[in-house]
Amino acid sequence: MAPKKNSAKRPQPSTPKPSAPARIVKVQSSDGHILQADVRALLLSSTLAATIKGYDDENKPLEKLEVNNVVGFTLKLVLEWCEKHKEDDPAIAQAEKDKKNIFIPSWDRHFLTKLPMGNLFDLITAAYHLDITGLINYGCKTVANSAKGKSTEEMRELFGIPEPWEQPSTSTATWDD
Amino acid sequence: MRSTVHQLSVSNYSSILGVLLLSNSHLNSDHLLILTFAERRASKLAEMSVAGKRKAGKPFSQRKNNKLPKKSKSEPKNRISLLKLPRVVLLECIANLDISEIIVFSLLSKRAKNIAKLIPWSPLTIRLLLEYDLQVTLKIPNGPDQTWNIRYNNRETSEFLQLSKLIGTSVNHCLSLKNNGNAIEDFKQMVENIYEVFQSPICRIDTCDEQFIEWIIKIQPTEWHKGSKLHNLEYLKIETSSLRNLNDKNYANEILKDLNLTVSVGNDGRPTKVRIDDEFVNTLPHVDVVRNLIRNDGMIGSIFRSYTSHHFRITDRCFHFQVWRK
Repeated sequence: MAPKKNSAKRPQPSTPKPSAPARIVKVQSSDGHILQADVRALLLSSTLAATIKGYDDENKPLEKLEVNNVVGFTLKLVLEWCEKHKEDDPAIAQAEKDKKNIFIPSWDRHFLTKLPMGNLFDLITAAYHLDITGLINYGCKTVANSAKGKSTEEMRELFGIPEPWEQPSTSTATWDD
Repeated sequence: MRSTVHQLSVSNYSSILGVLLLSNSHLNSDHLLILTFAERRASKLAEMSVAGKRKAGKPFSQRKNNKLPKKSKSEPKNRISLLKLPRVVLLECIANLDISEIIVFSLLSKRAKNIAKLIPWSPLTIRLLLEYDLQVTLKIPNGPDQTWNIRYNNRETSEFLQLSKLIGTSVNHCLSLKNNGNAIEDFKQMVENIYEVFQSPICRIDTCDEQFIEWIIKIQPTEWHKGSKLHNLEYLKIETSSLRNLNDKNYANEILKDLNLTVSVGNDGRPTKVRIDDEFVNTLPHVDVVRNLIRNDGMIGSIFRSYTSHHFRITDRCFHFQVWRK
């Protein structure tokens, strides 16, 4: 069954923008995978947007963007999400940033919940490095939703938190213990 | 100072009171503390405690026998840990959890608890019911009409049961945990986590076992008369029920002997009613004589006792500590 369209509850762009010709660039992951993406999709990442702006300001041809801290598999997910949301108003994600009750549109819910938890963590981490507010919002909310109704052991399994006696004695925990 | 108090073990009644008045505190936002101490219920809890000791071992988060059967011998499949997320997004994930989920999460490990403590949660009111079942009830004061009840019970139920009920406009979330033989220690650990994570006062306790009082004092000790702690306490009531003929006068003397009290005859302006949790108004018993403890800021702590006799020679003895200002 095809995923449903986004719910009307989520604010939508007021008017569809006239479709400008797509400007496609190559994006290279940390493990050497080369993907292609529309620049409008990449602009959802504040990090990549700054890089693109730097090229544009200097009138340099943008042939390839290197993303050194995201592997190919995760970068593909990031670009898929960005492609879906490239028409979104960035103010929507910013407005939702500090809201407790974020509504996750159905496409995003389907996209995020189908991922194994480890891949979801990688995706959120990539969204954090690339500074993609909307993806961080939905990803974190999806993680929290997955904990609903879970017992201690189920949550431990889900979040990959070992029992105290399973933790290595030479822990490298740094900031919170 | 606390060791002195513990020597006041003339009875449960006296030692509880003495400790409450004399020991140290780090609490600063209490409004009310009611302790109900009923000896007639003690035997049931003692059974629970004995059962717990038989099976006692590591606390909840450290015991293998608390694992679900299918998973008990396997390591977690997902070794990519939530705790390895960058701190900003990790906190955002945790901030989206509901109260009962936060409590469960905080039980996973010390590190999980420390992370949960970093979120500025809305303060809660914590009530403890420590009788045959062990129950903690949480509410957000002046917040949405929601209540969270988390209970360890002795009945044969599933390991973990969670449900939410809509009653009128209020929502009651219930989390029921099976007593796996170490319910008391598990319960204590859970309450300590709630207390630490939400930084909220335990504002009401109903118990029948002195061990809980000493534990509460350990995690939330009190010191009213020095002024800096338990500053907003308005009313404290300790209630005992007994078949025995206790010599209350001796107890009272023993409890209060180290305090600088003045005797007041008649009512010199002390309110005769107290409002409890903004839910109901409690009319205090009429007494002719009270003993007053006066704090540096002028607040008066009035101490008095009352009695209610029932059938079969059972007498409820109440100790009252009322804070007011002239």
